[in-house]
Amino acid sequence: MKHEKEALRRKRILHESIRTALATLLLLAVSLLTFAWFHHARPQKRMSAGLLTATPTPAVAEALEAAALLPAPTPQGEDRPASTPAPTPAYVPWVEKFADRFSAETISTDEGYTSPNLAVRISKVQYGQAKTAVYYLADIYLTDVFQFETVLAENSFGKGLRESVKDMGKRAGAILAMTGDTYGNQDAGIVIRNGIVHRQEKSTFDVCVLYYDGTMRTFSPEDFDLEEAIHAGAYQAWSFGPMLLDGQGQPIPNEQLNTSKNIRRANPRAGLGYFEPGHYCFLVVDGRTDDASGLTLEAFSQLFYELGCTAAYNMDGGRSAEMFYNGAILNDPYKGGRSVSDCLIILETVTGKEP
Amino acid sequence: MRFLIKLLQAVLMVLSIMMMIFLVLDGFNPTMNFLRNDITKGLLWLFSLLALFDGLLVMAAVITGRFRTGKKKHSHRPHRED
Repeated sequence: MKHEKEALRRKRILHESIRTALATLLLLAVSLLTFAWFHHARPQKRMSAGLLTATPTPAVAEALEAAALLPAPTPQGEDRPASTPAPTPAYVPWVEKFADRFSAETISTDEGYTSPNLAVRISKVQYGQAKTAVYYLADIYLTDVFQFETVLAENSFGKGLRESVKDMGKRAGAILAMTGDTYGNQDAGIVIRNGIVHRQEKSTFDVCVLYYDGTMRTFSPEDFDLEEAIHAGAYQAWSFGPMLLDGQGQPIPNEQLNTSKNIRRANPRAGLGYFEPGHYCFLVVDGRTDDASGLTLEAFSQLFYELGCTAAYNMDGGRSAEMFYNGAILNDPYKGGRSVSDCLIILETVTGKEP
Repeated sequence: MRFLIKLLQAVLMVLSIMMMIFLVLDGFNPTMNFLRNDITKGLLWLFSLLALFDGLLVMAAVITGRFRTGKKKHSHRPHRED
């Protein structure tokens, strides 16, 4: 009798424990799903700051070019050097500077695209030794900075708005596209797109700025000044990173990269490289597969250095890392890729930017 | 009352697991901002207040002697000697 009672009691406790555990798990699942919906899944258009950076009129462009061409002010007084500083090389329009890269007619193949306005050379490279990383490099020469645009998902600034790189690329008529900084996952971080400041709040991430004169600079969050960037003619600004090359164009050691330990591990990657005004590269690395492990951030930094870039910036990687070329996704994204909030595109012609 | 206390404890467990999940996810992907967003801040406030309330309940139960530990209390009744 006593044993039966004890057994019954134990059974009751077991049943109640299971019931409580299941109810708690259910509550947890519901809570997490609700959180995910409100935190990042719910599409919500946000108010863009709507500030214009330096107006991209020919006059401003000329002024920016002139500013870039002006020699450093000559010191006055006793400290004046005896020798004359070396003359600054004359400004050469990109179309002339990279003339040997362009072609008289438009030629589009799997290996690249050339026209009188644009040259894109695509290469697929196996990199590394034991478990190789496969990367796709798009070497880009432009005749005009306005050929380098960014596209927002659903053509709107907001949070939780998502679209595939392929759809955005096709919609914009891009020759080439690559994943951007997925600004829509964050509540802060500088966002300047095609000359419009959408978000002014700084985050803890490094900032990358492409200016109207074609130069690209990367900043640590402490060094970045929005007003200064606007004044200098910021055309695009991304907040993700980290920056992959330092101010002298040298690779950055692992422990100095401004991101967490987990992000530094081998992963699929997407990055933007800068050689000189008008000459850039998009780089996407496949990973997390049996054939390719991806690259650590330090190796990614080293790769940009080896390619000869003077500045480089990490964009959203992992499953988001995708490169679109000639109407299709070029690389093999992890789990088929995913929709993101923005992408970088290269256009054949300059669209909609005339004053 | 018993149901409310059980619910409170379930909610506290759920909130603590959620916070741990956010901590782990933030380590893997800090750009998703799992920890510093307004929703998590609100949840953290709720977690703290409920934990405080739960602590007060337990303390009150201990003080008033309603809190039972696993140990059996000695019976005051005299042993029967058959």
